Amino acid sequence: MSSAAQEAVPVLAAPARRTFKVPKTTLLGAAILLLFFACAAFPDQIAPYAPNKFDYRALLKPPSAAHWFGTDNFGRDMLSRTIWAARIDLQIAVFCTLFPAIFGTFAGCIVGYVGGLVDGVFRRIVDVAITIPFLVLVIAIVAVLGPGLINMYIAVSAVNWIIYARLIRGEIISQKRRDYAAAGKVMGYGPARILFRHLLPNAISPIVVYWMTDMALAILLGSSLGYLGLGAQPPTSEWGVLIGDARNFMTTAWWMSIFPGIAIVLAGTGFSLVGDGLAKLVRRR
Amino acid sequence: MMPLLQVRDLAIRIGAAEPVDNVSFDVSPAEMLGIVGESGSGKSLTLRALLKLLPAQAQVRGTALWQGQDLVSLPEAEIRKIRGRQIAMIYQEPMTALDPVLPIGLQITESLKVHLGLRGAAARARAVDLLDRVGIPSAKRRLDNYPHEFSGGMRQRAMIAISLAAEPQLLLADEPTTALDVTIQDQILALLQQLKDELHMSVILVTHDLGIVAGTCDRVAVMYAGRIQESGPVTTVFRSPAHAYTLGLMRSVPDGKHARQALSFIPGSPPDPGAMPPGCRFAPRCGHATAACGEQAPTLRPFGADHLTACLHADTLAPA
Repeated sequence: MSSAAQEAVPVLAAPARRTFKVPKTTLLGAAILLLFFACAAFPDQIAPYAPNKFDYRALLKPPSAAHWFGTDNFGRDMLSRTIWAARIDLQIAVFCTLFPAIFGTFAGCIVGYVGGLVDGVFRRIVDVAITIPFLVLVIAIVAVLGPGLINMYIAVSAVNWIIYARLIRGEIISQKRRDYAAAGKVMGYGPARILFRHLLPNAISPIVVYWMTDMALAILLGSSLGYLGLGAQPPTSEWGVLIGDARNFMTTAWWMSIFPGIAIVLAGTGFSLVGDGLAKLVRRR
Repeated sequence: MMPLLQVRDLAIRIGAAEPVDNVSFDVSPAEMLGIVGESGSGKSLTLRALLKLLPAQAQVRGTALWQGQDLVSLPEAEIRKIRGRQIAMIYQEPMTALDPVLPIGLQITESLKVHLGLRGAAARARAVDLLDRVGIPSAKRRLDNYPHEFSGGMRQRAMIAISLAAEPQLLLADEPTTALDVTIQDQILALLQQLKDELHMSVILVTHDLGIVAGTCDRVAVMYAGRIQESGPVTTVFRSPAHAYTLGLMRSVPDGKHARQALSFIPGSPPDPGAMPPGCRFAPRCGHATAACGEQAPTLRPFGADHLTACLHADTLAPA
């Protein structure tokens, strides 16, 4: 029997499930995120020193074998502080996006499905909200509520859900015109079942992809506010706060600002790469 | 026998146009009624009106009596209990009518849960049974497949399985085979017929294909420009058509007797639903038309046993 005939056999086999080859960049992103999540989960085991331990014999020391990332003006180990800061920054990434993603998705579903007047009102809200620059709006809300992490979460959540709602609204509007939505109606299903059981799973993928990107944005925003003194408060280790602390030593102790800066860039890159991978996966379906 | 569904004077108005006008028909239990007509003759609109699936701007008049209730005037909450449960519907696009992200099995068990309150292993067993019944091989394994893993014919079968889950008494089939290959078409139609007999279910089959009606239906209603022009048992209507339009349609179907001759066709095109001709709507295209045809809209009148026609010249039409 020729080899060609043997190769022809799999054609008759059951249709194969689609497999997805994970791109290398996505793996890299996942590895970076894994590193940061490890730091966030077990900082006390990974960090060589306590993050807030002063050492007056080692003030503003450049990177060395004892202090890989150098020390700050109180002799605190920058490596340990950067590692502990991962915990706060990942917390920011999650808490700044969790409520907006869930509430925004829910609101956007309703708005998109109901349409009409509800949709009209929502679109005016969106128009107003996106007229004001996001950062300015958040800073204004934090200024009213007072600085601090909790208030920052509240401020970001109050604004950010609109983006998710707008994203899912468009998807729902396009999905609800599809035949299977009509089929659901024909089957005698109620609107809640059609919307959340059938339309939402079909419309959710851009939300998941955007959520990843948004976590990177949230870290940037969190550290910006930390830097400005509106987010996490010292002595809490947070990358933005660390860079803020380093402001006065920018010319004399570069290591104080450069390592938290690299951490921010790396975390942002990690989320973006994973987000890209997810987007590709979603597009394949 | 008491008809299962009694439609009387159904009319649909969308803006200034009246694409469906004065449509009346009965469906008896376990009967397959074919509604045949060209595109735009209002046959799909009629079906959709029965389940109140038309957009809000469409105004529906008339009555559709179903088990003592008038479907046309029933509020949305009430009609929802009938949809899927008592009257199910399948349509043209089996490729898109299934939810792409849910496995087939889940879509069947969902219908079982909503309509019959069946859950868990019992629902799953019933789903296998249904898939088996509509002729999907190795149904148990296929339950976890997604719609994209099914071929067109299989999807239509799955769609039928979902529709049958709640054991409806009436199935509305809106050109269920138009998007399928001819061989698959035949299988699906045979399946519908078999299910009709097994489950004692009535079917309204809407199609533009005379051959399908001739081969599968018990009765036929011929629609043209929003009106039923002729109705009766399939054998009677096809043996001795009593409407010039039906006759024209039948002459435009190729057959062996007139092989290698030019196919006759009906000249012109259907009227614009916004500007229907007065009198018989087919008159402008009709070879048999006389002055009387253009004057007054003819109503359906009996022509032989169980045979209705709206043609003034039914008597003088030559038998096909």
